Amino acid sequence: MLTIAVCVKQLVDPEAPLSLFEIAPDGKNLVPPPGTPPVLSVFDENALEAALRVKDTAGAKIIVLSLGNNLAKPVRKKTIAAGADELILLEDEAFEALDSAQTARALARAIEKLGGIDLVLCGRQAADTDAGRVGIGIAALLDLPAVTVARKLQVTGDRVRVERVTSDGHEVVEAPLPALITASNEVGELRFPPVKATIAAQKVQPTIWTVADLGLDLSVAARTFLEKYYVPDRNVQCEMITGGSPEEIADGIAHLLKARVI
Amino acid sequence: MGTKDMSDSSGVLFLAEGKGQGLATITAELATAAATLASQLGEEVSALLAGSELAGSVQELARLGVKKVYVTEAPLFSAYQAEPYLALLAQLVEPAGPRVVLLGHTELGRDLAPRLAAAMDVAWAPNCVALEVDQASGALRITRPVFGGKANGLFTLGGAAPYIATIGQKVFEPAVPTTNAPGEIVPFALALDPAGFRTSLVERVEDAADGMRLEDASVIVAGGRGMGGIDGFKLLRELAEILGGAVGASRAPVDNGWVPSNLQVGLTGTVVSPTVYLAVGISGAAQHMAGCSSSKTIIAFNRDPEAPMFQRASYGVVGDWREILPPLIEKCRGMRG
Repeated sequence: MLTIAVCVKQLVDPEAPLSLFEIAPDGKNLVPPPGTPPVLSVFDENALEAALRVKDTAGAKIIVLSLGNNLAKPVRKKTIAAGADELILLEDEAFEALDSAQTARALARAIEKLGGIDLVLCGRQAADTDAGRVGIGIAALLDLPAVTVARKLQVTGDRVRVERVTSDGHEVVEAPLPALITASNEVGELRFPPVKATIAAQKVQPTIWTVADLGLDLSVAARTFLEKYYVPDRNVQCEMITGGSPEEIADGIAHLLKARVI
Repeated sequence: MGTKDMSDSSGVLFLAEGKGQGLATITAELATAAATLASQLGEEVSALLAGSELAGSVQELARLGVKKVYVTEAPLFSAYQAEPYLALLAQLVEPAGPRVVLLGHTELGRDLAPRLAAAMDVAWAPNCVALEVDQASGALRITRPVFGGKANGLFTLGGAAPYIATIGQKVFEPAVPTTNAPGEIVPFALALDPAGFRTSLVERVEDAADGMRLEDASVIVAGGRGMGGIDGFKLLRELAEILGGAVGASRAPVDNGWVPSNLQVGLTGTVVSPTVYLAVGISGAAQHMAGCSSSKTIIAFNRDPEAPMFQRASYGVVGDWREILPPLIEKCRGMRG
């Protein structure tokens, strides 16, 4: 049976209203409005969904890996309830300030430690840092063929066929297993788990691996250093077109269009 | 692959992108970004162009302020494939030893740049909207949007050169061809063993063009979650046709299967800058605004007066698009005559 590793990241819900976020005084953190629950990065949910679809059709064991401390309980449960078989958390104080290359190193080491992984799935990019470096970094470290921005995948024998999103359509790429694939939102949303599975997921205990468990060398220095975050000033004055019937409003818009593009 | 000591590295190399028989828009934008950095460094700009039938585009590229144009002409490079392109760029970057390598934050650059960075074990910064050289340390400082476009982050790239960055689309003014002496054209042949490539391209499928391409349109009529389904998009398409424009969408209609993914505007879709962007039923999530905020005029329709879209639009209408679109279509049809 196939064994699939899915790498997921917990983050502050990036869909929470923009105007309520604040930058911490030191400029190094974006502070969400109080009570904003942490979520899984949306593209990682897409990656898990893609893995689950392989499980649906071909059968597979799915191991979810997450690096980062204090993974919230609902986030943990969600992956298992949706159909993942195991959860491994990479937790260590030393993981507090990793750059993406170091994160890739830790996850690659965990995948090595697991052994026998046929397919590694990641989101195309984290929904907070928007970089897309970790997946490719894992593939390079483990010398796996990598295919990015997948919307569909199909495993046949020892090969995977991937439909990847392009700017004017899609392309089909094939790679031998083991391979790494990054998923895009076009995969579709993570399935909603049945109530029973949600209850059963309460009982699943994650395995926790630390730097020592992984035998990880983090002495390779970070190469990307955050100086500060800031919110650029880009609000424009919006002229509201109000009053009148829909026809009158439409007339106003039509004249705006006429002046510019008709 | 080893990396070079900073002191050996020099210059800014960018990867040009072709489109049809010419150059893609991003190429002239890359030339501007590269020239800005090179002048801060007091060093030179070089570029690499790969593909087939490059005769015309090579001449065009040589006039964009590029000192040296490396050209690799082979059918293998006519469409982007990760492995051959990575081999090509790595082989050029190794001996040429640029301090900075720039790619566009395009479909190609988003895939290739992190691969190059991982293969060379050097720093990479995606989707940069500003770049500068720190005069004291020689390090590269970049600004890029983070948190789905909610904020900008200022980062310093350290470690060994080259520093790799992809530049945001439609951020830098495209370089204007000079009448000065064009750059030197240097054919670059590489040793490649295609048998060593593990991934294979089976086919490329272009989705049926739904009217005009987004990036070519001067007016875009875009719909969001508020369109509620496929039917709403029929009205948007009708209006776009009358205006001679294209239909766009935010992420929700794509994820719900109402429209094909090539209509998606945003951080992970197409970046557009039309004269008019008509946003219908789009709340204005940061990741969507990252794809349309450089539009000259944004006109927003939304039922929710608190929609963030109104903070970024020049004109706004609070109301139901079902009431406003039909008369708007009629009036525009009338004006078109």
